[in-house]
Amino acid sequence: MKNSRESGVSGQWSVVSGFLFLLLVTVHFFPFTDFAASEDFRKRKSQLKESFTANEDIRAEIVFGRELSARILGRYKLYDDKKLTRYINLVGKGIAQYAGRTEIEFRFAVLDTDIINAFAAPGGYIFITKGALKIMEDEAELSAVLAHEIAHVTERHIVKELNIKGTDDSPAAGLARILGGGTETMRVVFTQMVDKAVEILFEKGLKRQDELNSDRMATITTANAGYDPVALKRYLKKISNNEEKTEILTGTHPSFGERIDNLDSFLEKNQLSDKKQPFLKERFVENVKIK
Amino acid sequence: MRKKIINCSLIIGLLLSVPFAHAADLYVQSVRAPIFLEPTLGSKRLTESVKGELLKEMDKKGDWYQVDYKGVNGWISRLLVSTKPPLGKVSILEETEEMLEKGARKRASAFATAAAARGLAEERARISDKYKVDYEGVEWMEALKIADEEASQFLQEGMEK
Amino acid sequence: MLKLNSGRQSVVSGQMPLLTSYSLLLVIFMLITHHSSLITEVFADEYHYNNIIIGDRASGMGGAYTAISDDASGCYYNPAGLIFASGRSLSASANVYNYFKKTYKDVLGGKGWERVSSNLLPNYFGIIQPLGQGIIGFSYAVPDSRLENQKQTFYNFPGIDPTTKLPLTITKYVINMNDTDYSYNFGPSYALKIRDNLSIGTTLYLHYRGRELISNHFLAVDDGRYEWRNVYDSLTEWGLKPMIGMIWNPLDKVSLGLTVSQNYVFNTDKRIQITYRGLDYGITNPAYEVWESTDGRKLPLTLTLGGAYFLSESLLFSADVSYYTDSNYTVTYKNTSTGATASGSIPQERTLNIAIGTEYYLNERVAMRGGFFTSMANTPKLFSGKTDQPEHIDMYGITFSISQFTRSSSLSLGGSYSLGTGEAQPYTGSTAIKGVEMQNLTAFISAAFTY
Repeated sequence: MKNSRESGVSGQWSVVSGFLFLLLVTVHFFPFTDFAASEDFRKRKSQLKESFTANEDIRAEIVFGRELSARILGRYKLYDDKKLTRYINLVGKGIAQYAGRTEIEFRFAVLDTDIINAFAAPGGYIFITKGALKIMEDEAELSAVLAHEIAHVTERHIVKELNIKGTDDSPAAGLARILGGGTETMRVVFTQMVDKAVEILFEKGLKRQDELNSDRMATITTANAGYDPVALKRYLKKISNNEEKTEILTGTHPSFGERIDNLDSFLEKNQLSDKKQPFLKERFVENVKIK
Repeated sequence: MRKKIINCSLIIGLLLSVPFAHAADLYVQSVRAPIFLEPTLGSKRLTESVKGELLKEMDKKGDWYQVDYKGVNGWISRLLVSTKPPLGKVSILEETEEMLEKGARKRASAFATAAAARGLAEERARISDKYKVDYEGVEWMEALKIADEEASQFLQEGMEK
Repeated sequence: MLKLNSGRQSVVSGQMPLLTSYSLLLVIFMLITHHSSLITEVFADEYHYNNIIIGDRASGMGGAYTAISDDASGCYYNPAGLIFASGRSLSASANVYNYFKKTYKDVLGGKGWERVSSNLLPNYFGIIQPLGQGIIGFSYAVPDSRLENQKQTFYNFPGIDPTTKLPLTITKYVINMNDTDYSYNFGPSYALKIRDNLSIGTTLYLHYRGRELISNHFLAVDDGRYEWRNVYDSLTEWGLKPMIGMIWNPLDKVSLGLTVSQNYVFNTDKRIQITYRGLDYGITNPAYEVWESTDGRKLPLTLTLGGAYFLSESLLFSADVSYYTDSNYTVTYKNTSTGATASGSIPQERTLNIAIGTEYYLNERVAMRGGFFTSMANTPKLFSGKTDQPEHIDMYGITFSISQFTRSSSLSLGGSYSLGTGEAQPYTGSTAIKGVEMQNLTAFISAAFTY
């Protein structure tokens, strides 16, 4: 009796191990497709990154962006021209309506410096230098440069670059957590984060990929808004000939050559190279009068 | 007995399948979102949908969704739509004003939150002396207010010139 | 000759005089012998393998979770799925209420006999976190539990005299009983990804079962005789339950899971203490006996194959098929004072259970789940003309739950209801087959937390 029972059990195991072996063989020889690189299909709606990027996170971004803006304005003085700033805001907010994140109130200001550059802080604070405005010839170029900065905000490039890991891999959530922490340690961490963001803006630069991506998104936004889609490329070509004033820009951005090539292929792919849309040169010249 | 259970299962199945019927809904996220004839920016612009509007997804191609919008069949950029309705404007500054309209009970806490967020942030700044700061400049920038409608009209005027 | 009534066609060798002589209780009701004879481990429902559904999401989906298994409750269903969990997480669930009712129809003088168990206990706790290349987890599960309290009195129903075989009337029959029976599994899990679309995992559970039954029966006959029996029955059982699992994604949105597990019981202690006063007129000294056994259960090898289709980020479907091999074991009890033995063999048939489930997210904060499952009897179908056959009830159930999510946590409320009808032979030594109905209702609340 005992013997027969035991052989019964081992018989079961041989069936199982045979089955497992067959299965492993099947798995081994199965023609694999490249989908498998991601198991994203498992993610349920409640687990998606965007799902809980709620108001508190956006608020954290704004608080953070405000801090960063104060440092940008601490470095480059604000160009205190209400009429010009109003114009920049009208153009900026106009194209921002064609960018994804409508929950953010975008604000634009001019920096009193001759270097050619533009900056974006999280939460919608966007700066353009007097030097950049001087070299522009029309509103399409202005809108393209602003759209590039808007893309940095909508895509949360700086927040991502800070690498604050939230519970669900959402960097903004991490920011909100630090902000909500309220302890002295958290304050120090927050300040360090802002300082780190300053370094990214002025020294290190964002990821090459983020810059190229923002160029493409800016092209989409300007094209959608109705401006000349080639404006950003025109602007980049111009500043590439102005190397000495853009040394900071070239230090923190990919080379102009690479950016222009990237735009060329993007314009081509989207059949935008020859699309004729307004430049709005007159309105620009009328509003932007910088000595 | 089994019949009862089968009936129950059917009811649950039906309940679950009701919301499934409109699973491929897309909400416009940008204030405006043009719809094109083909899945490329260079193609003809058919019409423009506006923020919060519901579009029915029919097909997908790269960065584009084919949608049906008020009987117009076209393509919309993936960047401008999402499966969730868009959020309202979020601000740490205007919140107090918004809340004033929503009644007194909420006001106090909302005011405290916004004020705390600002106060806290500025207090934090003092911990760092690494960089010069200019909060007045930021406030000057925030003081300039332009409504979306005004910016929208300004853009329109430019395009019609 | 005593029949071991949880054994099928059980064979008993040896004499147990005090249990069999003059006993009206034993002769009349096999139901009652469940509580007063040797084989008392039946009521935690060894006739079924799928008694309690475990886990936060799985409970709502009929337990069809082998191909999903991607949270802390994956330790229990398929450890290979842990690899897909997003970070560290913790999951706990509590059965708010478990209600079980079994009704034997047309017994005890046509009145029917009901047995009810209800209890409240946390049935799962699991925690997982990354370790090295994989994910490590630890979990605790209660796959089966019963808490039965009974006090019931029946009046004036017919019986048969055990010695003369003449009919008589039982004027009063009082049952007082308390039965607690819990099984616990606890232990570690580890999961590893071995290639892009294939992961494996293992869980090693330590199994513990503890049972304690105290029952008191009093019976009076119209001719002035009476019978009384008090039983204290305890069982402790230790086992090791290894499970190995794998999850394979052969196609986009499709996941297949497989698990193999078996519970090896390595230590069993059974003790039955009976104080008994046989059917008689006068007052005689009550008899006292203790029977012991260390023979463990042989539990079946379980193979579960699951599939899941993740149609969209809002909707998924899943199904599991579980196969349980047949098994057979012998239990021998020994009388501690006389050395007499009694034994019987207990076979279990091959059994197949299925579960299907679906989950739908109304939005990112609310999800609904529904499921269907079976819990088939591992006993053979009853044949007419035979006696002392174990009952056979196939159960079918539905589940439902709703979850509310925040960024890092979820709270679920749900319930399951299963129902089965089948056949039983309530009378010892009789070929009569009676209908039996079983219902099981569970309400649960569970929470999961990612940190």
